[in-house]
Amino acid sequence: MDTNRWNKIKQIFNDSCECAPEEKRSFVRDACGDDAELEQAVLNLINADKRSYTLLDEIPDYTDDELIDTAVSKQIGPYKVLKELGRGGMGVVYLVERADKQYQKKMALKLVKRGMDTDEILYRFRSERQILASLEHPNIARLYDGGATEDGSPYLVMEYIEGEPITTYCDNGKLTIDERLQLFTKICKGVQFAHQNLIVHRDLKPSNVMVTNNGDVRLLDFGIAKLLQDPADQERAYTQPWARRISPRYASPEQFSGKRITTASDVYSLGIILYELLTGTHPYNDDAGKNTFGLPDIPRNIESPVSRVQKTDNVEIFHTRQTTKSSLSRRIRNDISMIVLTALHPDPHLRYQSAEQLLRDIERHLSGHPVGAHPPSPLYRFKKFIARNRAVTASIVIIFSITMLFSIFFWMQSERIALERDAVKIERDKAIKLAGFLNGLFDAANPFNPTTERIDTLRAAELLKRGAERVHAELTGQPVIRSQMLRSIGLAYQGMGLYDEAHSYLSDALEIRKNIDGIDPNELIESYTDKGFLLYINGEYKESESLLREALILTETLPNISMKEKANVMHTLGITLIMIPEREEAESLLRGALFMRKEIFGNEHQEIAATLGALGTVLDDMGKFDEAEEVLQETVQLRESLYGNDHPSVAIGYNNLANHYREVGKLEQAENAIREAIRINRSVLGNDHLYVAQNLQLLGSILRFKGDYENAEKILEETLELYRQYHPDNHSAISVALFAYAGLHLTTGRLDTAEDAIRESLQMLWLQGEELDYPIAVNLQRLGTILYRKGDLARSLETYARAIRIFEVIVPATDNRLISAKRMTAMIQLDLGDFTSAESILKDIYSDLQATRSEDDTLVQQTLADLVQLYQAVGDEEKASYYSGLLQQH
Amino acid sequence: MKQSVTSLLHDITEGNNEAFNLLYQNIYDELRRLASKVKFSKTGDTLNTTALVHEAYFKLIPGKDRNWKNKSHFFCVAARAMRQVLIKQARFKKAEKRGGGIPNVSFNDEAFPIDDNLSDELLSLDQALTKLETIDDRQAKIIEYRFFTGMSMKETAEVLGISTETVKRDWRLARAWLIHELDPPEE
Repeated sequence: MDTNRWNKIKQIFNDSCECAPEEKRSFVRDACGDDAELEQAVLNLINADKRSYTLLDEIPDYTDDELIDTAVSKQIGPYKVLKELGRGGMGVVYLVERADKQYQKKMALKLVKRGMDTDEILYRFRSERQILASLEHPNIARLYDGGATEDGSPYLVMEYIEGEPITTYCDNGKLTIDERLQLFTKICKGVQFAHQNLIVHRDLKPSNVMVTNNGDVRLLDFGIAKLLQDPADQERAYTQPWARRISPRYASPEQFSGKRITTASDVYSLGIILYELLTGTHPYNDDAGKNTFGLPDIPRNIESPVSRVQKTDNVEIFHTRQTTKSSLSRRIRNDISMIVLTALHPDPHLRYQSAEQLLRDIERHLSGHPVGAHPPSPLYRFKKFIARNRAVTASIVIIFSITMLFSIFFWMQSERIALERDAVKIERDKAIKLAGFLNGLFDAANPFNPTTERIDTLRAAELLKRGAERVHAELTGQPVIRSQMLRSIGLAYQGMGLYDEAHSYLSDALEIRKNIDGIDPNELIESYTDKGFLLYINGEYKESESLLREALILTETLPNISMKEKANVMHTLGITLIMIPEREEAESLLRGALFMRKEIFGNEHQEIAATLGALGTVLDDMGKFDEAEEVLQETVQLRESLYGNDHPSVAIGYNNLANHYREVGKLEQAENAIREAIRINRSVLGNDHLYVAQNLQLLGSILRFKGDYENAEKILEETLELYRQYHPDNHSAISVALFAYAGLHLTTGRLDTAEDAIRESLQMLWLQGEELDYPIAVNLQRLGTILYRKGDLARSLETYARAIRIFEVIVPATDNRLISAKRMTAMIQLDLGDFTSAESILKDIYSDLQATRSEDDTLVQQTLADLVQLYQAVGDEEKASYYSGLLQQH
Repeated sequence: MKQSVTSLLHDITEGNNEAFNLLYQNIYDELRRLASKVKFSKTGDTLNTTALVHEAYFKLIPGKDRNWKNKSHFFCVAARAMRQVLIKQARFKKAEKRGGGIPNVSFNDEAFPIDDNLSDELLSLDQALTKLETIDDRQAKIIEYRFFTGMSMKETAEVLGISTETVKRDWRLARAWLIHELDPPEE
């Protein structure tokens, strides 16, 4: 159809849409004139327009308000709308009842306005709703149900509370200060209960604290603020706090600044409510300036309630409290003012940590006990950890509801009672089931577990801690189960990067298993591997090696070892040996593990991806670059297909690939790969995670190779900083970073800086007590180079000699680093005029190499070139041309 | 070398064709993976493509990069990818129904089930839509965006740079045209 004709049809059809139905025909006839074909075409469309087409007609079209407006007099899900109760920024609240009259009860239904990212909100609904719905407490309004309308708008159904906001209730009823405090403790109890379940309200304000006619306190909208928070807000800079849909007058400073929200944030809101209940005024001076976003400027120092009262001339305030200015001042002078100000401390760490602490102080006050300072919170460490490490924040996760956990523990408890009744008979099956369940639960706290969903770190960490306490207290008679629990807890801590905790739990698990008679040997091996792997990630390679060698021998000697456990030991020992380094053995262990794992899992499995990745690395280390490149690329692809693009394992794959590309000089590819790794790790684990540090280090090195020294320096300094934050002072990682930093300045020519760095690194390594250590040799070698460049040939030579002595003990004669150390020695000898030593060193190298390497190997060529240079230097043209002839043959 | 989806999105806005292909492939793979977990049928009111595309979006675009611009570009590409995912599956289904079976079908291709009636309807819609593209590309796009990603009228208007009113008018006409095309009245 040509465009003109179509445009005509379009025009007439569109115009006809404006006509009344009975006029359409004649309108079209007029418009088409004598073009009967055109007329038919338009009429066809008009007829079709009247028909329905399910596929297209049921695509919802969400436009904010229309949707909500049409809801009244309609039904939402199974609920019949009775009337509108109110509307606000996030939607409308209706009074509803079940349409099927299943219950007579009236409920409040909150219909959420559809925003851009409602699907994510819905997604969060599914996981959080259960938790919120299980929040059963006399002071908390129940969440009954939730879902989505046919159009996709999420809604929540809550207990409908008829009553007044607490402030109004207190004033209307002329409640005294004591009565108000009593009532306030009920609020605290509700909030405390939620805090114990690790749910934070986030939007406490008088209108969310209702008092019924019977004087019952009910907290509304628990946890809803988080549920409805626009996911983008979490990341958006806090220039738009309104988008957070919280009430600015009751929000804590950290809610404005976009910092982490914890139970202490609720305490702050409670503090403001309490302030109002006592003084009849809001703690922020109402005529104080508002900042550019129209938000109240939160004062650093909140005016104490006493001084506020003393400034007040509004007699109504005293009247509604059945008191006078002077007696109100006296009443709230000491304890109460202190409690309020503690609750309102701008620094969340210096506030009461939870409603419980606030409640305790108020109760102590009411019962005439002195109000004490509270001890530092046990969660302090976790908070510090969170502050250090947004990693976990971003990705720690638990899908199971806390209440489920509690009911399981409850079950555990009744289990124990049963045990006491019949000490001999252990209901092993149930216990194992329980263990499996808890295992799953703890697995979910591990950020590497792909099936997990997000929750607060606080919640996960708290969960682990409680789990551990229970395991210690209640499973003493059941070593098998106990060891399984300890193991799971250890692995979860490991996943969170808390290696000390992980070490203690995994070691406990291993020790217990060693001492169980008739233990399943596979479980014993499993524990060996766990601990070995932890030691490995913690950089304690020697310990890891000896533990895993022990395990490997056990797999040969114990009966019924599964192929899976054996492959695990081989894999883990393999990766440890890469670091030792024992590369040939590592390669053969890894190939063995790979073979077994393919037998067990087929080709596509995460275990295979792990072994492949390690194999690629060791091949790289051994100089088998082509093979390595293939294996490393395969690893990344496999991981992407297993985990999707944004996963730490994929990032590790890219990291290793980048390392390979750097080795072989493909620097652009190397930089791209490492930046991808960094991007993934930052987005998944956070900016200052250990892995990011490792990636940065590699990026620094790549930039250095590219000649971008300025950025390389910045990146390496950032790396060091991260490592120092993360590890105790003499962790290998710091020395590796120092080594890289020294390397950089060797290139930039800042030799003093380079020397300082390398000496610090050596110092750390020596402190670890190893003499014949590969890293020490490598560091000595670098120090030798620095000294050489500084012109201190004698000390350089001496340093190289020390490096070579170590190398000769721990690596084969043809190791790249050993050879290059020897070449350097020869060059220095030559500089020093010791031609004979130089010649004999180079000839030794050449013959060592000839035995193992092909003639076109880079090292062979370099050695030949050295020999040419040597003979030219002493004027032995004959030998020079002989070697240069050899060189040119290849 | 692999590029992040966000940077591909950026490149696309710069008019880079290769970036489009790469991005398309990325989104296509992800959608296919997601689709394999869903059962498509017409028993529900709508095809749940909206949720899939959103899921892919949250998966592929890191939070910090989720802005309106990226989202609309993503959705434009995703509409095409979603269409391909569904159509491929529908074709497979049809071939299977004919009893021919398709040799060399990779595991992934047969992974997700699609309703028989629906697969026929989808194939017809796809054909008609392809025809509509030659007549009025913009209208075909509007149908594609709305149908395969659940974009609202307003969002569609924004990505196409036209008014919502125009989208609504075009939608109505395109819809009528499709209905007539797919099921012309008996003479």
